[in-house]
This record gives sequence, structure tokens and C-alpha cells, in this order.
Amino acid sequence: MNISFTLNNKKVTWNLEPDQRVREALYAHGCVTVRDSDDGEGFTGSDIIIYNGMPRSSNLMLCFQLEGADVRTAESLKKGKALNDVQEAMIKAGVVQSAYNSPTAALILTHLLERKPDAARYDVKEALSSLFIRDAGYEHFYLAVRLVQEKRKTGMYQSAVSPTFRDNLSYIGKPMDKVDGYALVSGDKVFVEDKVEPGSYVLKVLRSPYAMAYIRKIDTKEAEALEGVEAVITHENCPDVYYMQAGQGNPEPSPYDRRLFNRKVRHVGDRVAAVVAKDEETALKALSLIHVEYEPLKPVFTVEEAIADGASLVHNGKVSYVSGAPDNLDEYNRNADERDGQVIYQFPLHGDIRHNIAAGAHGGIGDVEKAFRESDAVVEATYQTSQVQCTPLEPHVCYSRMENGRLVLHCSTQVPYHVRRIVATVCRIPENKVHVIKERVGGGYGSKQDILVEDLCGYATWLTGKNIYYRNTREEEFIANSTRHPMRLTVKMSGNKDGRITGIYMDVRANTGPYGNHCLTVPMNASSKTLPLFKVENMYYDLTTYYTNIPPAGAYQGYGAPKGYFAIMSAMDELAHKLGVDPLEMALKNVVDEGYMLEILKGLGEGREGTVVPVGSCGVKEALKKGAEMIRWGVREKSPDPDWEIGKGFAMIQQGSGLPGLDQSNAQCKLLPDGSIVLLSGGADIGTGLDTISAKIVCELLKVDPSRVTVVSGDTDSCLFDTGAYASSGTYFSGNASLNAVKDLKEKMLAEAALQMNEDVKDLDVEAPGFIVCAKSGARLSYEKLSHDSLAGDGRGAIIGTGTFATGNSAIPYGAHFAQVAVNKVTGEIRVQKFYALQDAGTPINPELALCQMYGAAQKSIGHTLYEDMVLDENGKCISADFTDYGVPMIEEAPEDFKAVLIDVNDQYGPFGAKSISEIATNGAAPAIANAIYDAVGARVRSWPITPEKILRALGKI
Amino acid sequence: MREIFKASELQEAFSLKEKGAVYFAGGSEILRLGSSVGKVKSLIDVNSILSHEIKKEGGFLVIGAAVTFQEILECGFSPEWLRKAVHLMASQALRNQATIGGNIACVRDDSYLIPSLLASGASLTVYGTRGLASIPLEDYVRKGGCSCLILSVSIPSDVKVALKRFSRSASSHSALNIAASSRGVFACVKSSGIALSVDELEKLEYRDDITGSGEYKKYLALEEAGRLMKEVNA
Repeated sequence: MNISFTLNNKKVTWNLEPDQRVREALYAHGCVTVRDSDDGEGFTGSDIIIYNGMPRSSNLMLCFQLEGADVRTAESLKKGKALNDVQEAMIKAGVVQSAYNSPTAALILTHLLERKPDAARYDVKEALSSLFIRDAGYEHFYLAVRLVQEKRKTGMYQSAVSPTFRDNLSYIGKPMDKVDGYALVSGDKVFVEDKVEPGSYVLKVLRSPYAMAYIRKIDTKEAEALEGVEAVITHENCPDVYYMQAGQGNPEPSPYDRRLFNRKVRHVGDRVAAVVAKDEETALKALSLIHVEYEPLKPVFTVEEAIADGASLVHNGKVSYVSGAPDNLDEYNRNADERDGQVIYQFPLHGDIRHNIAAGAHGGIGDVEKAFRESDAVVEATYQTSQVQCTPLEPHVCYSRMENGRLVLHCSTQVPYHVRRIVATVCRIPENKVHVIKERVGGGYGSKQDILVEDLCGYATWLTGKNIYYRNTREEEFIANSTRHPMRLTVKMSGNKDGRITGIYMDVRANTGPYGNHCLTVPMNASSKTLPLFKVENMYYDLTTYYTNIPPAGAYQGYGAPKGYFAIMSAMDELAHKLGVDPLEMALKNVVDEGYMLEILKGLGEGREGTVVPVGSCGVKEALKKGAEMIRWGVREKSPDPDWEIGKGFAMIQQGSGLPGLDQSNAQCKLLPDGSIVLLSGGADIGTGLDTISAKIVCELLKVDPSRVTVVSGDTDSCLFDTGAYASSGTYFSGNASLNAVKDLKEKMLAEAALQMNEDVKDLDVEAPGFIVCAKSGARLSYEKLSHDSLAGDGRGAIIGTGTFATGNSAIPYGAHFAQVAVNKVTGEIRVQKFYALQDAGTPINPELALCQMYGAAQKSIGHTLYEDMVLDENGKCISADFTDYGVPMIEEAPEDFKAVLIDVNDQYGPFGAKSISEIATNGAAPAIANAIYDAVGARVRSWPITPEKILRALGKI
Repeated sequence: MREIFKASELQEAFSLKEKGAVYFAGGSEILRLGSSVGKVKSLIDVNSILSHEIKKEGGFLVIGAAVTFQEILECGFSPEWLRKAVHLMASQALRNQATIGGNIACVRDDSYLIPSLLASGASLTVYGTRGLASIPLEDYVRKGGCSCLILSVSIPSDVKVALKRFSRSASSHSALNIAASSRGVFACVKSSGIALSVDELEKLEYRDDITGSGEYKKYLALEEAGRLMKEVNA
């Protein structure tokens, strides 16, 4: 029917189905800012429009409601090409990061300021109450509103968006508009879904209702016969190729334990079949026509169940090794069940699938048992972390198509080159036949380090030749995706009355779920990112990772470190209390200093022997001291309500900056004919500002305005290899590769200029805004002329710089997080009153973005600590597979007083002294809050999430 | 594909409802992911026949069934307890959509408004088999709702209500939403039911779910009932 309404101040009449969702209609008519993150749950705000003057969720409206209505979308905000002042301020404030719902955020705030120009903090909080922000936190949204108000009043911004660093530099360490900020906040077509062409086919997956079962029989005839169905793929006709889905350096420390489809399903939601069809309706119909006969098996869900005698085996197929096979392998495989497929280790990981063990490791220094025997006090406790989900606003998507005999994949990924390799492997084609284009990524947080949808979507296109779009539903994000490994960590720690820690032992039991992607690396981080923070001579860890039938685990921002810190910093707090020592004093006494030789690293090499190195630049003590001062450590705060008690806690933390010895990044930098510059980075900017870092490096070294620099990244055809955006590698690895490329370009520019100018190269340097100058003669040559002449018929050719970065050196970020909580002794309720995140990120190249990432990561971690939980029923089905049931923190859950502070440290290895920023920020909240709760009411809760019910139980109330 | 009927008269709407269609006011419940009524074939758009007005009538505040949570929040003469109750729905966008009539009609065991409105002694004007009628909200809830169409909610002006909602986060389902007044204690307990007195609260069969164990909910309900009564009587 024809429906007439006003859209962005223009009358329109569209032919619409009355019961169609308004969001779908708007998107189909070009309003791409109206996106969907929650399948119509009305939770995330990605779909918000202004409907008759009110913000409303367009997914929760039907098209008949549009008749006569006045509708505004974020497309209305720009005037011509110019952003409105709210959009501008959001970029300035640093909140436009992965930005999937940034346009709607701008719309909401614009609407607020129209109604209430002097909106206060409360008003902003109310306005943003419908918006889920996972990446940047909410704190700088308040700042953005303040900036708008200031500019409207005085014509300019008054508030600083961040501190600045390195006075001798022009761009590094200074706030600057993110290079993709304009496109993201204004709603350009930059995400995968925006690239899908009309007439594209869709891919849908039939998923297992059982936690573990063999597929006895699968009948796809009816589905295949359905008109519009192009292909049905099952374990019977998929490539017989074993691989795994983690995007890690090759050879990977994860077993190849799956094919596209397996005869044995291993979790509720596991792939059973896929349908390629002309549209979604046909695909769903075809799924319903696939008949499957299962042989259900008794599943195991916990580490304890996986360990138990007689436990069902999640994998019981033939095991093989690419290298390092044990001598008794034939015997080991004697009773393998061929229905289970295979498990192929690239090298030994101490796995034993006949006991549900996917991987293991152990190592240490000194003699912990002796230390325990000889110390004044010993504590031992077990801590349990839960299964939590990354919840990117943009779910996992892929659009694949054929072009000139090649497979082209438009991806939302952190690892374009691993996508290329794995898809090529699955399709059994060389990598030159695969072109991966990383689009803007609407949130990754680790889950897009795994190749969870591209493998199948790519193969389906390679098989059928069709353009195919695949998109996870939100439920699939929960049940068939990467999540944080649940872990059981036992920590034994000893110390003396002087506050000196004498021994630490960690027993880490991790639950990797049905497949072993990241089964070593993530759990390893529980020890490898915690033990090196301690100046303790006796330390040892044991790690075992178990297969089970829970939804898959994998990479998540922080890897295993947040879990390790929850255990080790809680244990330190327990030890300090037992010894009667101030936990802060104990931390200061036992934390490493610059130059301390990290012997412990020898045993922490993630499947290989690690290298012992000294501690480099280190701001942890400053973070501890400053945080303690800010939160008034040692002062007991009094609650005005007798039911509430207030307590304080903290955690000292570290992470890494990529994987020295394993990672490599590459970049190219080209001088264009007019003297402008393109930098081609292999790095994958997932919203964090990596492209902006590369751009700033160009500007800084070549002294050009940012408008003369373009960064292209994550395109496997045009850019050089990079291991990807994970393990906090972006700034350190990809940034250093960009730095090396720009240095190389500069050197070549000067060499060419020397020839063109007939000067000695040692007398030449660059000068703003894009000149080569000779100190001796005063001669100047513009970049434009330099490039033009080099490209002329008698020129010496294009000037291109290339940079590689691989290193054995670490640039370790450190920090300390402090929490003040109020706990209700009667109801168990918890309020995070204050949260201060202090981090040494070396030189923060993008300080405003860095601060927002600290807020976002800390808030995410607060969510894991207090609210979020994937709950499985007795059959292994996740019963909290939407946002409301799962419980992500929104603005209401943000700490009342929330501060992020950058500790100024200049690193010796990072580009311009920079280190990583965001992963480390997930490490502090759980122990800081847990310790604060203990400080408040004496309740020690050792499992996530720390709920009011658990507090009441710890207090003996129930 | 769903049929959508735009009702122009109360009787027309009621007749359609009797045939299995569902009333559609704000739509936040019907259209949301996982809605128990989301897959119905026919919707009755009742927006043009329902009042969108809040007014004072005698000693009552009369709120049209199509008034949204946000309109109640922003209304200058909404009592403080009622503003607090509607604000329990944390999302402003949802508050702009959800209506008071719709929230009552769902009779959910995690209802935002039902405990407070019960405590206030609210009554409903409805249209049903016998045409227009006024019924106490308590009767409506005790029956688990009905096919009649809620037209308005009348709330005594001078009532004092104390309330509290317990949920893991502001946007997640509540384990317990409880309110008290001089009329007694009223509570929605997730997966367990709606209690209309302390006695019922004590006898309720408390069940475990993702919001917490039955034991936790019972402890909380009984503790909070006592505390809220003290607050009311203070």
C-alpha cells in the first residue's frame, strides 16, 4: 500500500507492506544509518529514529504507523557535506570508534539539544539510556555535549578533550579528528551490509538442537528441490578439509579439529547444514525441509564433568601432528572413532583428547613448595569465571561474490590475511584466488579475530558462483560464536609479615567448549600476563584446557588476562589481609620495576620456549600511587544509609603489545603525483583509530597536513601482510610498520630530491607543508614537483617506501584500576560509586581515543564482573541469548564517578614511545570490585558474575 | 503476513479481539524479540480509540490507556512514586513507546507498573462483553487479564506508595518488583507470579530462573516487604 509521511523534512510516498518493520523499510530506501543490532529487541538503539518528535526504536514499529508521521533519521543531520555540531563534537571527543550506532547517537543528542539546549549530565544520561555503547564507554558523550554547548555559546570549544603528550611533536600525542570519523558518524555506506548488491543470495544455517550427537542420517532432497534453493551443504558434501577458526599466526597453537560441517555435532547451535537460496524466506523454508536423524550423546559442560572418569569424549577421532608427533601415536589412535573426524596438531600442545584435554602447559621459576613451607602465611583459593560474550553491535557478517574468477569477500574482520588463508584452505585454492576487503568493523573485541562466518560464506560462493550475504542473528552471536573461556583458577600464594610475596602457584583449568581455537593462547594469558608483573622468585603455573559441549569459546579482548587478574589480585588481597598488611603496600613492594629481569618468561612462551627480557618502560608504580591518592586509599568512607557499606579495592595490571617473535606487520607509503600521500597498511583498524595512527605518523615525519594523507588498510590485494588486530598489536606492530614505511619513503624522497636539486642528501630535510629544503643553499622543492619529475618520461620512477616490523622486544603497558563500591548488607545490591582506570600506554598517539577505549574496556569488564552471564540449561541450550537476558551494562550501570588517566611513560620500542591501550583495560575491574566488596562487607565472592545473591550467600543471609 | 485492523470504535476492536486478534497500542511488547504474542496473525490498532490524555478528576488521576511511560514521567502532576515506577523502564526510547494500558494488559510477572498501581488502589475503565465497566486493577490482575480493552487507569491522588525493583542491571528483567502502601504489599516475582498481599508473598512458589534462585527471591521479597511497609508508615 502507498504510505505517505515526512522523512527528513521531505514528503514521501512509498509503497510498503503495512506490517513491515519500519527499520527495514527505511534501510531499503537508503536510510542506512538505521541499523539493526538486536533483531528487534529494542535494546541497543542502533535503529533509533525520531518519530513524531520522539526517539523510538524503528524495529519496534510497523510501516502502517508511518502514515502521516514525521520521521527523522541521522541522514538529516548533515547539511550538504557538512556535519552538524553534534557530529563534529562526537569525533572531537573520541566517541566515534567502531561506530555502528554513532549516527543514531548523534541523532539522539541533536534531538536532546534542540529540546534542551542547556542539557545537563542527567539529561544526557536519560537521552542515551536507549543506546548500547560497548567500545568507548559513555563518559566522553557527556564531554561531546559540553563541547557543543561551549561552541554554541562562545564560538569555540573550551574544554580539553584529553591531555597532550610530547610537546616536540605536532600530531603524535595530540587529539586529532579520526580519519574515518566523518564517514562513520555521518552514516556513509562503510559496513559490510552496505555493500550487498540487490539480488544477492542469502545463506542460512541449520543448527544442532543437541549439545553432542552423531548425525546418523541427513536428508536434504526436499530442501534442494525447493524453488530458489541454489545449494545445500552438509558434512556429506563439504570439503574434507580440517582447519580451525582462530585467526592466529601460522602454524597455529590450536588444533585443526573441525571441517565446515562435521558428522558429530558438539554444541547446541553447531552447524548441521547450510542453505544458499534466493532470499531469506526461501532459505528458512529450505532449512525446515532438511530431515536429520541424530544419535544424541551425553554431553559434558564443565571442567569437572570433562575430567570425570568415564566422561563422554568431545573429540575421539584420529590425532595427527604436522611436527613433533609422539612415538606412541598409532597406539593412541587405535580406538579412534572415525565418526569424530580428525584432530591435527601443528606441533605438540600437551593435548590429550582421550581425556578431553585440548592443550596444556606448565612452567615456572624457583621452588614454590619450599616458599610455601617457609613463609609466614599461605592462602589458597579457587576462582571461577563465567562465559561472557563480546556482543559487538554489528554481528558477524560476510558478503562474498565472484569477480573475474576470483573470490571476493567483504568482511568485518580483525584478521583479513588469516581470512584469506583459511578461506583459501577450505576452498582448496591458492591465496591469489581470494581477495579480502576489510570494511569498517562495527565492533570486534576479539570475536572477529576468528573466522566464524567467512569460511562458510566464502565456500558457498566458490561452490555456487553466487553473490551471497550471511549475517548472524543475535542469538547465533551467543550460541555459535566466540566467547570468553570459562575458567577455574586456583591460586596459592605465600608471603611474609614484611609484605614480601614469596611464592605463587596458579592452576588454570580452562573450558574451550567444542573446538580448540585459542585453546592454548587465551588460557595461557591467565598466567603469562599476570605472573610477570610480580617480583617474586618462586612462581609456577599449570594449565589445562578442556573440550566440553558449551557454546564455543575463543578470543575476547584481554584473552585470559582478565580471568588471571581476577584470581591473582584477589589472592593477593586475601594474603595481605591474612598477614595484616595493607594490600597497596604489598603491591608496591612486589611489583616489578624497569630493568627487572623477567626469568618467568622462559616458561610462558605459548607452546614454544619464551625469551627472558628485562622489564622495559613501566608506569605501574605511578599508577598505583596516583590511583590511591585519587580514591583516598586508606580512608574509610561512611555511608549515610546504615544498610549500605562502602569499600575500596584495586588491581595492578599489565598486558602486552602484540606477540614479539610471532607477529609481523608490513606497510607501504606512496608519494602520489601531486605530492599527496597514500599509506597502505596491512593493519586492520577495527574502530580503534589505527588508521589515524598511521596517518599521524605520515604527517609527523613528512610534515604534511592530514588532508594530504590517505590511509588504505586491510585490503589483501592492495596492502601487504599483517598478522592482524589482536593481542593489542595494532599500535606497536602495525604502527611501527607504518613508521618504517614512512621513514623509508622519506629517505627515498630525500635521495631523489638530492638528484633533482643537485644537492648533497645530508643537507636535505623535509619542511611543512610539504617541501624538501636544503639547509646549506636554502633551496626548496615541493613534494608535488619532486613526485611529478620522478614520474616524468625521463624520471627515475615512483617513490615508494616499504616498512616491515617484527621484533623480539616487548612494549608492555601497565596500570592500576581502583574501585569504590557501596554494598547493601540486607539486599546484596552493589553500586560502583567510583572507578579510576590509570594506565601507562607509553605515548598515547591518539589520547582522546585512548581514554575512550579505557572507559569502554573498563565498563565492559564491570559488566563481566557484575551482570553478564551466558546461562545454559541442562541440555546445553543458552537461555540468556539476547541482550536483556544476558545483561550488558548500559549508561545506568556506568560508575557514578568514572575517570581514565594516562600515565606518561615513553617506551623505547613503540612507535614514538607508544604501547597498546585497550586490552589491558579489561583486566582490572573484576579484582578491584571483588576486593572492594570484601572491604565493604567482608563478603569474598570468588566467581563471576558477582551478583547480589552471591553476596547474600557469602554473608550467610540465605 | 499480518493483518492490521485500524479500529474506529470500541465494539469493533473488542469483536476483533474475540476472534483472536491482539490489541496494538505502543507495540513495544508485541513487536519485541521473543514476544509471546509476536507471531499473532492479526493486530488491532487501537490508538485512535484510546485516550492519550492525563487528567485530574475529583480525587483521582485518570490516565488514558494510550499514554506512554515517558508522558507520565514528564507530566507535571504525576505523583512522585508513579514517576519513579515508570522510570524503572530504563530506556527512554522504550518509554516513548510503551503505554500504561499495554503494560497492564500483558500482566507480566516482571511488570514495571502493576505492583505500584496495585498498591495505589488503581482501577481500570474497560470495554468488554458488558460494554463499559470499571473494575479494580486487583480483580483484573487476579484473573490474569481479560479480552476487554483497557481504556484508562484511575489512581487515587492522595495515596502514598513505596516501591523497589530488583534486577541485575537496569535493563534486565527484574527478579522482584514490589510496592507497598497502606493497602498492603504487592509484588511481581519473575517466573513465580504476582502476589497481592504479604500472605500471598509468603505462600508463593518461588522458582529459579536467570534472575536468581527461588530462595533468593523469597528472601528478598519478604525482607523488602517489611522495609517498604516501614517506609510507608514512616
